[in-house]
Amino acid sequence: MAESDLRLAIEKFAKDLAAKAESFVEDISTLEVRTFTIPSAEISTLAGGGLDLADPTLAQQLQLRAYTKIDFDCDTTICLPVDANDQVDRSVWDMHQTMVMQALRTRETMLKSMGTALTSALDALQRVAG
Amino acid sequence: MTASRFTLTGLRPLEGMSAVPGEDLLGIWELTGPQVAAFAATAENMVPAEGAAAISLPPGAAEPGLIWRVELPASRREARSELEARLIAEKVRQAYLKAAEKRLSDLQLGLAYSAKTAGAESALLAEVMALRGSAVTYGAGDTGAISLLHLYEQCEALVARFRRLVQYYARVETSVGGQPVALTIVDWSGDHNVIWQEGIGPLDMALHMDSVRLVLATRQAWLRLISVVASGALSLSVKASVPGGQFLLFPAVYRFVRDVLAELDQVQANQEAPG
Repeated sequence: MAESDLRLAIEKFAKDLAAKAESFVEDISTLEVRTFTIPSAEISTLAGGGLDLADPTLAQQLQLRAYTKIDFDCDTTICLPVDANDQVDRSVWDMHQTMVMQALRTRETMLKSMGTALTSALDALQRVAG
Repeated sequence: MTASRFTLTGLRPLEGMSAVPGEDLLGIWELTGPQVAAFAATAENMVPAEGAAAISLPPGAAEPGLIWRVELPASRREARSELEARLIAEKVRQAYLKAAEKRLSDLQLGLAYSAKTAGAESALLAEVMALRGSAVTYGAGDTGAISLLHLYEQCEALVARFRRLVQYYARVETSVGGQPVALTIVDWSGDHNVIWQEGIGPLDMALHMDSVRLVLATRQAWLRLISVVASGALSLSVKASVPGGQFLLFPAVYRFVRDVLAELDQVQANQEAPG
């Protein structure tokens, strides 16, 4: 009984992982980073629950300050944050750039992990078949 | 003064499970179950989770997924040092995991009871031999049977947890001195949405960035853990010719990895002990 439950759990896990890997391959063509700010008195209202950025109530609270989109061929779209004098807001821009670097590193790690997972899966399958 | 806490909310145990491993095998995060506790906790109402009222989701509300919450003390120096310690601990655990993987792949079946075989290896090989020869049968109420059943339950819970880890990528909330400062959501395509408290300073910004790094590294390590266990069980089942062994051996290999991590931890602790 315990063995069949475990087998079922592993099969479900493998299925989910495969589905995520598939959507990852589909979605990886672009990388988007959005930087928002929120008044300090309101940040605690973002507690726990779902966070739908398309939600108009949430949109009223958040201010989109910077946006970067990088296509797989490295075409890049950037929206810069400006202050009241139309000057680039350096503090926001710096934190946005740091996050873009982080996002690029994360994607690189994801790609490596997917590659490693695929290699071990193939290796394991070959051992079973051989 | 606020103590630091590193919690992960949302990894639920299976229904009806009585024996679920509550701790993070890598020793970094405190797993706090399904409650939606408090990013909402601000300086005045911040209390330890065991004293905090859990907020239930209203019927029909969307599940928030996994929430990684980093609560840091008001002293930025202490906060930085806490985070750095966790980042180092995570790297050390990754190295231990690599060592466990190597020991697993070096395992020689013929050495089952050799005096040179380490404890974790001996226990695993004994399990393999038992499965290969069906040499062990357990009676009802037998301690061995109960222990094996418990291990199966733990593995099942572990796999169920990792399913959620696959379903949701990461949502990281950082508070400093009880005040929420930033929130980042990373999705499966690598997209980042970051919400900063207006006027956040560079020190708090760096703390949040490190929190995100810690979360992503932990996810990586956990997925690696399950990959080591799954591929180890499969390889061993082929080596030992145990039909269906990849499932039968999963708990034993999980226990092996867990034992190796504990053993290496002990070695490290002994080295660091004074005298």
